[in-house]
Amino acid sequence: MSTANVGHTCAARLKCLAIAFYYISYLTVETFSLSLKERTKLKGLLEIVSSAAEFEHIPIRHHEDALLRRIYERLPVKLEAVDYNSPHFKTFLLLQAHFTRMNLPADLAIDQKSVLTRVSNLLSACVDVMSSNSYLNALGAMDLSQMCVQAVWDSDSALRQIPYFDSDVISRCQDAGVTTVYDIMELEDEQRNSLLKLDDKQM
Amino acid sequence: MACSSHIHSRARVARFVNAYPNMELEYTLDNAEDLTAGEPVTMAVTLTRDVDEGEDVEQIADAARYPGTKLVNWWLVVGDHASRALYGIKKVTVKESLKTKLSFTLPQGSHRLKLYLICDSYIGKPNLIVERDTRRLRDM
Repeated sequence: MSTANVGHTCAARLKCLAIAFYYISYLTVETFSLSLKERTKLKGLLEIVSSAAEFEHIPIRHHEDALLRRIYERLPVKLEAVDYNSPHFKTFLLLQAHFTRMNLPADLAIDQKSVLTRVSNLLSACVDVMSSNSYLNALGAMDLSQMCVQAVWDSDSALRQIPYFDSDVISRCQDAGVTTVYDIMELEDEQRNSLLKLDDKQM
Repeated sequence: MACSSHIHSRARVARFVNAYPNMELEYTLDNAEDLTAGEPVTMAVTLTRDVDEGEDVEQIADAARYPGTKLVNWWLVVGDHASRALYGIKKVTVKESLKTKLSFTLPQGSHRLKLYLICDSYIGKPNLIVERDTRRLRDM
Protein backbone atom coordinates (compact mmCIF):
# COMPACT_ATOMS: atom_id res chain seq x y z
CA MET A 1 0.00 0.00 0.00
CA SER A 2 1.35 3.43 -0.81
CA THR A 3 1.57 6.12 1.87
CA ALA A 4 -1.09 8.12 0.08
CA ASN A 5 -3.53 5.23 0.57
CA VAL A 6 -2.57 4.82 4.20
CA GLY A 7 -3.22 8.51 4.69
CA HIS A 8 -6.59 8.33 3.00
CA THR A 9 -7.94 5.42 5.08
CA CYS A 10 -6.79 7.05 8.29
CA ALA A 11 -8.31 10.43 7.42
CA ALA A 12 -11.94 9.47 8.08
CA ARG A 13 -11.07 7.77 11.37
CA LEU A 14 -8.96 10.73 12.47
CA LYS A 15 -11.77 13.16 11.78
CA CYS A 16 -13.88 11.31 14.35
CA LEU A 17 -10.97 11.24 16.78
CA ALA A 18 -10.38 14.98 16.40
CA ILE A 19 -14.02 15.70 17.21
CA ALA A 20 -14.02 13.38 20.22
CA PHE A 21 -10.67 14.47 21.72
CA TYR A 22 -10.72 18.17 21.11
CA TYR A 23 -14.47 18.90 21.33
CA ILE A 24 -14.47 20.68 18.02
CA SER A 25 -17.23 20.85 15.47
CA TYR A 26 -17.57 18.45 12.56
CA LEU A 27 -17.82 21.46 10.27
CA THR A 28 -14.43 22.69 11.44
CA VAL A 29 -12.75 19.34 10.76
CA GLU A 30 -14.33 19.36 7.28
CA THR A 31 -13.02 22.88 6.65
CA PHE A 32 -9.54 21.89 7.85
CA SER A 33 -9.54 18.74 5.66
CA LEU A 34 -10.50 20.72 2.58
CA SER A 35 -8.20 23.69 3.17
CA LEU A 36 -4.96 22.25 4.57
CA LYS A 37 -2.61 21.32 1.75
CA GLU A 38 0.84 19.79 1.44
CA ARG A 39 2.36 23.23 1.01
CA THR A 40 0.24 25.30 3.40
CA LYS A 41 2.60 27.65 5.22
CA LEU A 42 2.24 29.74 8.35
CA LYS A 43 0.12 32.46 6.76
CA GLY A 44 -2.26 29.88 5.30
CA LEU A 45 -2.45 28.03 8.60
CA LEU A 46 -3.25 31.21 10.45
CA GLU A 47 -6.05 31.95 8.00
CA ILE A 48 -7.40 28.39 8.09
CA VAL A 49 -7.44 28.06 11.87
CA SER A 50 -9.20 31.44 12.08
CA SER A 51 -11.90 30.11 9.73
CA ALA A 52 -13.02 27.53 12.33
CA ALA A 53 -16.73 27.48 13.19
CA GLU A 54 -15.69 27.87 16.86
CA PHE A 55 -14.88 31.54 16.17
CA GLU A 56 -18.27 32.46 14.70
CA HIS A 57 -19.36 33.82 18.07
CA ILE A 58 -16.55 36.40 18.29
CA PRO A 59 -18.59 39.63 18.45
CA ILE A 60 -18.27 42.47 15.97
CA ARG A 61 -19.29 45.62 17.81
CA HIS A 62 -20.86 48.73 16.39
CA HIS A 63 -18.25 51.05 14.82
CA GLU A 64 -15.46 48.63 15.65
CA ASP A 65 -14.30 48.47 12.02
CA ALA A 66 -12.28 51.71 12.22
CA LEU A 67 -10.40 50.39 15.24
CA LEU A 68 -9.79 46.99 13.61
CA ARG A 69 -8.50 48.76 10.50
CA ARG A 70 -5.95 50.72 12.55
CA ILE A 71 -4.76 47.53 14.26
CA TYR A 72 -4.56 45.60 10.99
CA GLU A 73 -2.37 48.31 9.45
CA ARG A 74 0.25 47.66 12.14
CA LEU A 75 0.31 43.86 11.70
CA PRO A 76 2.76 42.05 9.40
CA VAL A 77 0.61 39.35 7.76
CA LYS A 78 -1.87 40.75 5.21
CA LEU A 79 -4.72 39.10 3.34
CA GLU A 80 -5.95 39.74 -0.19
CA ALA A 81 -9.54 40.16 0.96
CA VAL A 82 -10.19 42.18 4.10
CA ASP A 83 -13.57 42.05 5.89
CA TYR A 84 -13.82 44.04 9.12
CA ASN A 85 -17.28 42.59 9.77
CA SER A 86 -16.16 38.97 9.75
CA PRO A 87 -15.51 37.24 13.10
CA HIS A 88 -12.98 35.03 11.31
CA PHE A 89 -11.02 37.98 9.98
CA LYS A 90 -11.16 39.49 13.45
CA THR A 91 -9.77 36.22 14.88
CA PHE A 92 -6.94 36.32 12.32
CA LEU A 93 -6.18 39.86 13.44
CA LEU A 94 -6.37 39.16 17.19
CA LEU A 95 -3.96 36.23 16.87
CA GLN A 96 -1.39 38.42 15.11
CA ALA A 97 -1.90 41.16 17.71
CA HIS A 98 -1.10 38.50 20.35
CA PHE A 99 2.20 37.50 18.67
CA THR A 100 3.09 41.19 18.39
CA ARG A 101 1.98 41.80 22.03
CA MET A 102 -0.04 44.82 21.03
CA ASN A 103 -1.95 46.59 23.79
CA LEU A 104 -5.65 46.29 23.01
CA PRO A 105 -8.73 48.07 24.38
CA ALA A 106 -10.56 46.06 27.07
CA ASP A 107 -13.33 44.70 24.79
CA LEU A 108 -10.85 43.41 22.23
CA ALA A 109 -8.62 41.95 24.96
CA ILE A 110 -11.62 39.89 26.14
CA ASP A 111 -12.29 38.69 22.58
CA GLN A 112 -8.60 37.82 22.18
CA LYS A 113 -8.68 35.77 25.37
CA SER A 114 -11.69 33.89 24.05
CA VAL A 115 -9.80 33.14 20.80
CA LEU A 116 -6.71 31.95 22.66
CA THR A 117 -8.60 29.56 24.96
CA ARG A 118 -9.95 27.74 21.89
CA VAL A 119 -6.99 27.87 19.52
CA SER A 120 -4.74 25.15 21.02
CA ASN A 121 -7.27 22.36 20.46
CA LEU A 122 -7.95 23.60 16.95
CA LEU A 123 -4.23 23.56 16.14
CA SER A 124 -3.95 20.02 17.50
CA ALA A 125 -6.76 19.09 15.12
CA CYS A 126 -4.82 20.75 12.25
CA VAL A 127 -1.81 18.61 13.15
CA ASP A 128 -3.98 15.48 13.07
CA VAL A 129 -5.59 16.34 9.74
CA MET A 130 -2.21 17.10 8.12
CA SER A 131 -0.40 14.12 9.57
CA SER A 132 -3.20 11.78 8.47
CA ASN A 133 -2.46 13.00 4.94
CA SER A 134 1.30 12.44 5.50
CA TYR A 135 1.99 16.19 5.22
CA LEU A 136 5.22 17.07 7.00
CA ASN A 137 4.13 20.71 7.20
CA ALA A 138 2.07 19.61 10.21
CA LEU A 139 5.24 21.01 11.82
CA GLY A 140 3.91 24.49 10.91
CA ALA A 141 0.80 23.99 13.06
CA MET A 142 3.12 23.00 15.92
CA ASP A 143 5.07 26.25 15.46
CA LEU A 144 1.80 28.15 15.55
CA SER A 145 0.89 26.44 18.82
CA GLN A 146 4.17 27.62 20.39
CA MET A 147 3.51 31.14 19.10
CA CYS A 148 0.02 31.18 20.66
CA VAL A 149 1.22 29.94 24.05
CA GLN A 150 4.20 32.31 24.32
CA ALA A 151 2.87 35.33 22.38
CA VAL A 152 5.83 35.43 20.00
CA TRP A 153 6.44 35.25 16.24
CA ASP A 154 8.32 32.20 14.93
CA SER A 155 11.18 34.49 13.85
CA ASP A 156 11.55 36.05 17.33
CA SER A 157 14.46 35.42 19.67
CA ALA A 158 13.72 32.56 22.09
CA LEU A 159 14.62 35.07 24.82
CA ARG A 160 11.38 36.97 24.17
CA GLN A 161 9.54 34.20 26.05
CA ILE A 162 11.23 35.15 29.33
CA PRO A 163 9.35 37.65 31.52
CA TYR A 164 10.92 41.17 31.47
CA PHE A 165 12.94 40.42 28.33
CA ASP A 166 11.88 43.35 26.16
CA SER A 167 13.65 44.38 22.95
CA ASP A 168 16.32 46.39 24.84
CA VAL A 169 17.26 43.49 27.10
CA ILE A 170 17.27 41.08 24.15
CA SER A 171 19.54 43.29 22.06
CA ARG A 172 21.99 43.66 25.00
CA CYS A 173 21.98 39.86 25.33
CA GLN A 174 22.60 39.36 21.63
CA ASP A 175 25.54 41.80 21.74
CA ALA A 176 26.96 39.69 24.57
CA GLY A 177 26.50 36.47 22.57
CA VAL A 178 23.65 35.26 24.76
CA THR A 179 20.97 33.82 22.48
CA THR A 180 19.22 30.91 24.19
CA VAL A 181 17.33 30.43 27.44
CA TYR A 182 20.01 27.93 28.46
CA ASP A 183 22.64 30.67 28.01
CA ILE A 184 20.73 32.76 30.57
CA MET A 185 20.84 29.81 32.95
CA GLU A 186 24.63 29.62 32.65
CA LEU A 187 25.28 33.31 33.37
CA GLU A 188 26.85 34.55 36.60
CA ASP A 189 24.40 36.61 38.68
CA GLU A 190 26.37 39.78 38.10
CA GLN A 191 26.34 39.44 34.31
CA ARG A 192 22.67 38.47 34.29
CA ASN A 193 21.75 41.52 36.35
CA SER A 194 23.73 43.85 34.13
CA LEU A 195 22.10 42.47 30.96
CA LEU A 196 18.71 42.85 32.59
CA LYS A 197 19.74 46.21 34.06
CA LEU A 198 18.72 44.86 37.43
CA ASP A 199 21.90 46.04 39.08
CA ASP A 200 20.98 47.77 42.35
CA LYS A 201 23.57 50.51 41.75
CA GLN A 202 21.53 51.71 38.81
CA MET A 203 18.56 52.49 40.99
CA MET B 1 19.63 49.14 49.08
CA ALA B 2 18.01 46.27 47.22
CA CYS B 3 14.85 47.15 45.40
CA SER B 4 11.99 44.74 46.07
CA SER B 5 10.65 44.94 42.52
CA HIS B 6 14.09 43.93 41.23
CA ILE B 7 14.20 40.98 43.60
CA HIS B 8 10.77 40.05 42.35
CA SER B 9 11.75 40.25 38.69
CA ARG B 10 14.93 38.26 39.28
CA ALA B 11 12.88 35.52 40.91
CA ARG B 12 10.40 35.61 38.05
CA VAL B 13 13.17 35.22 35.45
CA ALA B 14 14.66 32.34 37.45
CA ARG B 15 11.27 30.64 37.62
CA PHE B 16 10.84 30.76 33.84
CA VAL B 17 14.38 29.55 33.18
CA ASN B 18 13.89 26.61 35.56
CA ALA B 19 10.56 25.64 34.00
CA TYR B 20 11.98 25.79 30.46
CA PRO B 21 12.41 22.14 29.53
CA ASN B 22 15.69 20.54 28.60
CA MET B 23 14.88 17.21 27.00
CA GLU B 24 17.24 14.41 26.08
CA LEU B 25 16.18 12.08 23.32
CA GLU B 26 17.43 8.61 22.48
CA TYR B 27 16.07 6.23 19.91
CA THR B 28 16.68 2.89 18.26
CA LEU B 29 15.24 1.59 15.03
CA ASP B 30 14.45 -2.15 14.97
CA ASN B 31 16.27 -3.96 12.15
CA ALA B 32 17.81 -0.65 11.12
CA GLU B 33 20.10 -2.32 8.58
CA ASP B 34 17.41 -4.38 6.93
CA LEU B 35 14.21 -2.38 6.41
CA THR B 36 11.63 -3.49 3.87
CA ALA B 37 9.33 -1.08 2.07
CA GLY B 38 5.69 -1.36 3.11
CA GLU B 39 6.42 -3.35 6.27
CA PRO B 40 5.94 -1.80 9.69
CA VAL B 41 9.03 -0.18 11.18
CA THR B 42 9.24 0.31 14.92
CA MET B 43 11.26 3.07 16.52
CA ALA B 44 11.77 2.95 20.28
CA VAL B 45 12.17 6.42 21.76
CA THR B 46 13.26 7.45 25.25
CA LEU B 47 12.71 11.01 26.43
CA THR B 48 14.34 12.26 29.62
CA ARG B 49 13.88 15.67 31.21
CA ASP B 50 17.17 17.04 32.48
CA VAL B 51 16.34 18.26 35.99
CA ASP B 52 18.46 18.98 39.04
CA GLU B 53 18.16 16.43 41.81
CA GLY B 54 15.27 17.10 44.15
CA GLU B 55 13.74 19.59 41.76
CA ASP B 56 10.09 19.16 40.74
CA VAL B 57 9.35 18.66 37.08
CA GLU B 58 7.07 21.43 35.83
CA GLN B 59 4.49 20.14 33.36
CA ILE B 60 2.50 23.35 33.12
CA ALA B 61 3.86 25.87 30.62
CA ASP B 62 5.22 29.14 32.04
CA ALA B 63 3.22 31.41 29.76
CA ALA B 64 2.20 34.70 31.33
CA ARG B 65 0.27 35.88 28.27
CA TYR B 66 -1.71 32.70 27.69
CA PRO B 67 -5.14 32.55 29.35
CA GLY B 68 -5.66 29.55 31.63
CA THR B 69 -3.18 26.76 32.28
CA LYS B 70 -1.42 24.97 29.45
CA LEU B 71 -0.14 21.44 29.92
CA VAL B 72 3.11 20.99 28.00
CA ASN B 73 2.69 18.39 25.23
CA TRP B 74 5.30 17.04 22.85
CA TRP B 75 5.01 15.71 19.32
CA LEU B 76 7.41 13.06 18.06
CA VAL B 77 7.47 13.11 14.28
CA VAL B 78 9.32 10.95 11.76
CA GLY B 79 9.55 12.53 8.35
CA ASP B 80 11.64 13.22 5.28
CA HIS B 81 12.30 16.91 4.79
CA ALA B 82 13.21 16.58 1.09
CA SER B 83 10.01 14.79 0.07
CA ARG B 84 7.89 16.70 2.65
CA ALA B 85 6.44 13.37 3.78
CA LEU B 86 5.43 12.61 7.34
CA TYR B 87 5.63 8.89 8.17
CA GLY B 88 4.93 8.66 11.87
CA ILE B 89 3.66 10.88 14.67
CA LYS B 90 2.85 10.58 18.36
CA LYS B 91 1.72 13.18 20.89
CA VAL B 92 2.97 12.65 24.43
CA THR B 93 3.38 14.32 27.80
CA VAL B 94 6.59 13.70 29.75
CA LYS B 95 7.05 13.90 33.51
CA GLU B 96 10.60 12.79 34.40
CA SER B 97 11.02 10.39 31.51
CA LEU B 98 9.06 8.40 28.97
CA LYS B 99 9.68 5.32 26.88
CA THR B 100 7.45 5.04 23.85
CA LYS B 101 7.28 3.47 20.40
CA LEU B 102 6.53 4.93 17.00
CA SER B 103 5.29 2.60 14.28
CA PHE B 104 5.21 3.55 10.63
CA THR B 105 5.76 2.21 7.13
CA LEU B 106 8.09 3.59 4.49
CA PRO B 107 7.62 3.52 0.75
CA GLN B 108 10.32 2.15 -1.59
CA GLY B 109 13.45 4.13 -2.26
CA SER B 110 16.01 6.05 -0.24
CA HIS B 111 14.97 8.19 2.70
CA ARG B 112 16.81 10.74 4.69
CA LEU B 113 14.74 10.34 7.82
CA LYS B 114 14.54 12.91 10.54
CA LEU B 115 13.10 12.47 14.01
CA TYR B 116 11.58 15.69 15.29
CA LEU B 117 10.75 16.38 18.91
CA ILE B 118 8.48 19.42 18.97
CA CYS B 119 7.11 21.08 22.07
CA ASP B 120 3.68 22.72 21.81
CA SER B 121 4.46 25.44 24.38
CA TYR B 122 7.97 26.86 23.91
CA ILE B 123 10.05 28.07 20.98
CA GLY B 124 13.78 27.40 20.75
CA LYS B 125 16.02 24.66 22.03
CA PRO B 126 13.50 22.28 23.61
CA ASN B 127 12.71 21.34 20.03
CA LEU B 128 15.17 18.78 18.72
CA ILE B 129 15.80 17.41 15.27
CA VAL B 130 17.83 14.26 14.81
CA GLU B 131 18.94 13.22 11.38
CA ARG B 132 19.63 9.63 10.33
CA ASP B 133 21.80 8.42 7.51
CA THR B 134 20.05 7.80 4.25
CA ARG B 135 18.27 4.46 4.29
CA ARG B 136 17.93 2.45 1.14
CA LEU B 137 14.94 0.17 1.60
CA ARG B 138 14.69 -3.34 0.24
CA ASP B 139 11.89 -3.64 -2.27
CA MET B 140 8.79 -5.56 -1.27
